[in-house]
Amino acid sequence: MNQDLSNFSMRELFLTESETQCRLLSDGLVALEIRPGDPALLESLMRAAHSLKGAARIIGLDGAVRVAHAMEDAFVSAQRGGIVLDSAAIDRLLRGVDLLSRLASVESPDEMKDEVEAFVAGAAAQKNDTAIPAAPTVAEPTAPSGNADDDVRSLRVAAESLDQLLGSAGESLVASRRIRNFSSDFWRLHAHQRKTAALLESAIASASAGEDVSATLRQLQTMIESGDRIVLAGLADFERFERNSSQLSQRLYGQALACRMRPFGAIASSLRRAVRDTARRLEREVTFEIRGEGTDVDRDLLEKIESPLLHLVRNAIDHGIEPPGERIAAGKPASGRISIEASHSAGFLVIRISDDGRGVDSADLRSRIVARGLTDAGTAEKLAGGELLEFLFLPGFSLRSEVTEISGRGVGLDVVQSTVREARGMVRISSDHGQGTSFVLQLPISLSVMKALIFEIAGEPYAVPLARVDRVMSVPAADIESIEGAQYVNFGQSRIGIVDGALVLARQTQNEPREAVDILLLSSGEGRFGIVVSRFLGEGEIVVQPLDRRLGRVRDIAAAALTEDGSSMLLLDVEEFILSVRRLAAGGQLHGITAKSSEAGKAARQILVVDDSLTVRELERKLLSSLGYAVEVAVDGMDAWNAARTGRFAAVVTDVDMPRMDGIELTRLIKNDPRLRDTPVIIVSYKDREEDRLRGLDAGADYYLTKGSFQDEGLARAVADVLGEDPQS
Amino acid sequence: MKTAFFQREPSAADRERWRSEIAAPPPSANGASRLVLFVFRVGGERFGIEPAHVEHTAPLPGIHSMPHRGVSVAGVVNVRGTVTLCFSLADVLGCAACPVANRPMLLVLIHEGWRVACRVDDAEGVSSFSPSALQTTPTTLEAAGRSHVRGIFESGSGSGVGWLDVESLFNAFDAAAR
Repeated sequence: MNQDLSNFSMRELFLTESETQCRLLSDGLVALEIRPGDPALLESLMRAAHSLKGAARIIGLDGAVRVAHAMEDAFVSAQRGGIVLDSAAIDRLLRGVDLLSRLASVESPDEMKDEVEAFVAGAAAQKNDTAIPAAPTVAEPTAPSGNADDDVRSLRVAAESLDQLLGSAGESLVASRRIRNFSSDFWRLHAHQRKTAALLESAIASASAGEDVSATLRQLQTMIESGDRIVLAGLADFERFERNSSQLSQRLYGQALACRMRPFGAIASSLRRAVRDTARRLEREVTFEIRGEGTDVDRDLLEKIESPLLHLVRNAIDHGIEPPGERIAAGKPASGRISIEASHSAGFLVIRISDDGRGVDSADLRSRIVARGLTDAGTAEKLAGGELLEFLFLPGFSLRSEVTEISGRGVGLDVVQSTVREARGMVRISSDHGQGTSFVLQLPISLSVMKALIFEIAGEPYAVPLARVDRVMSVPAADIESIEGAQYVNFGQSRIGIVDGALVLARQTQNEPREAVDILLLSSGEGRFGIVVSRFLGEGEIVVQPLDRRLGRVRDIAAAALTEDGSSMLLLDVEEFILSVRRLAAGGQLHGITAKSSEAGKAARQILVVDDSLTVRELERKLLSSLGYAVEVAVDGMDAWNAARTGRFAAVVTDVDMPRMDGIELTRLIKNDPRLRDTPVIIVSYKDREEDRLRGLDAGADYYLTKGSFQDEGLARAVADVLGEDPQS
Repeated sequence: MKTAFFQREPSAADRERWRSEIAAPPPSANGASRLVLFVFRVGGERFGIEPAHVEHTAPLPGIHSMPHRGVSVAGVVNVRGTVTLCFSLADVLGCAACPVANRPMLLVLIHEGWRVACRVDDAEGVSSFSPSALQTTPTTLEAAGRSHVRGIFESGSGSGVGWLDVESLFNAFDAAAR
């Protein structure tokens, strides 16, 4: 391998260039399929292949030279009318594009020699106008980007944005020098005051000596007036400065932010490609439309949502768009429509993906939910449209009985949802049976700035995204009522349980009697709660900063920010915070149950149940509670690890596939911790292949059960076994 | 093919000169080279750390506590516009906290790109020490397995100065953060 540093940077340059050219090629080929033989398109395709060939030759990437050459050749032949680029040919050429982008990014392109040869041979065969040979089997293309992700992150920023930023920064530097004027104003005022004071002193002396001081007094009066003028002039100046400076800061910030923005259209090419490939593979006809390509999106956010969006458009074709025959029979045009639209609305980035396909059949969905044992038929009947569609976001839930190549990519709707939530956004689904489905993603425009409500808990500032606040209120202490020790307030028709925020965060509470308490209403899928805070500080735009990554995941806390006076504050993770509140509330109830069952003479043993599905969690909790165990729940591996490391659990029951930290990692952490090593871990998963089982047991799990085990008491038996108890007792 | 100046291959002679310069031992000062440390106080104890790891010191700002973390994590502070993790050195080093800190300071340390803030009871500044004055740490500390001190410099006046082992200290920070 060549270790030469200068060569390395050339390689980087080539990677950058190949990204641009491959996007041109990919877009052009997809367009060519719609407008076959378009001379302008062929010309630009030819030029892109040619440039890439030249660049590859410079860095001596022989494989890429050959592939690019073969492609260029094909375009030239097509220009001369020698060959017709039909869909099969375009398929092959698109594979060539993939091959090129992989050649540009892999460490040892030499290893791809066979693929290169197969491609070149295929191209030659086509040129000779023989029958198109069977496409060489090419490995699934891996994502070309991200490989060169070293420790030092670099961004490509439009020169214009950077120039603007630099301009404002220069202006700010000049403006800051004006502050010196103010201090000289102050000094001038100070000198003037001293003079006035001295004159006053002499006037007092003269007056006590019985002299006439009226002239001096008049002089004093003028001096005070001129002093006042100095103050007023300085003040006007200062106010002007303040106004300019705050405008400048705002502009500076906006421009710095713009450097982080990319147009939504930057991922248009991979979306078009995904639609084209999927439609072709599944033999559907699809018209694809992208609107709002110029919409600005934070580049980190765009990177984050690209794969969920790709999944959603593939899904729309796989599950939505019917085969042409079926569509015509249903009275629809043979070609299906999929559209994706990005726009800014009310301070959010909204992305809507709609199709005019078959939509979701509620009856079918209900029966699948029941078949999966997620609920019983009676409850399923009662579920309304939105609630019903929510089930589609459960991990491993699919409307397909068979795993197709498209849906088997390892990204499910659950991952779409968790990715969107991680970006502090939300996703909604709506569907009309027979008419189509649409997904709406609502995301913050930038990951770093947001409107927030700021308040104090235990004397320290905290914030929540304003979008997540249902309401704030101040309730007279007398209006707080309680049932069985749980406090609540009446709000409209409903009673809302209230919890002291300091208790949730395990801070010192200040138990001073108050006439009224400030309450923040928060809600999530887990319920609605009132959080008692020390006081509200107001709302404002905050610049979110990540916490030091070495802290790992801190429960209830999403990030940090600075207040206006420059002190630090923490941003609450609303979803998690509500879970913690729920857990506190449930803990109280559980202690009650525990107290009763301990009449039998043994204290109930605590079991931690970990699953990201509310349904499964509740099912397991009920099952184990009914056996007399005290159950606590956690929503994912990270949450569970936070709870488990207190060491108070007799056993842990965990799922495998969970966001943030999966069950395997959790098991490994527990089994590698000297204090927790002996805690039995039972894995309960939908994954029932032998290799999944082995993976779980390798991590140190004591049991590996599949989720069918709820019915046949497998879980009860396993728990009794690891705890060394007779399940019948 | 023309190559831009900065993409040009360095000549063989240049490479050879660089190689020999890098391979040569660092020039040492004549006579006994003294060790320079930044000295600060935590509780009743004094510690020293190489100045290269001290980014700056500042009067102690407000520290926002961090929920669900141990006492070693004092919280987060604003260090020049960046919310930075702040440790209580008294807890990390296991010293008795100072009952009355007359000059509490924030010490911003950096090691391998990781910047952390620490609360200390006083910052004395830079002093130099003779390597011959270095004494080993009391065996009781080592037995406890939590010593982050490479040795102790006894000075004529006042208490000794513990020479902190940066690697070990930052490992302790890392463990305390989780």
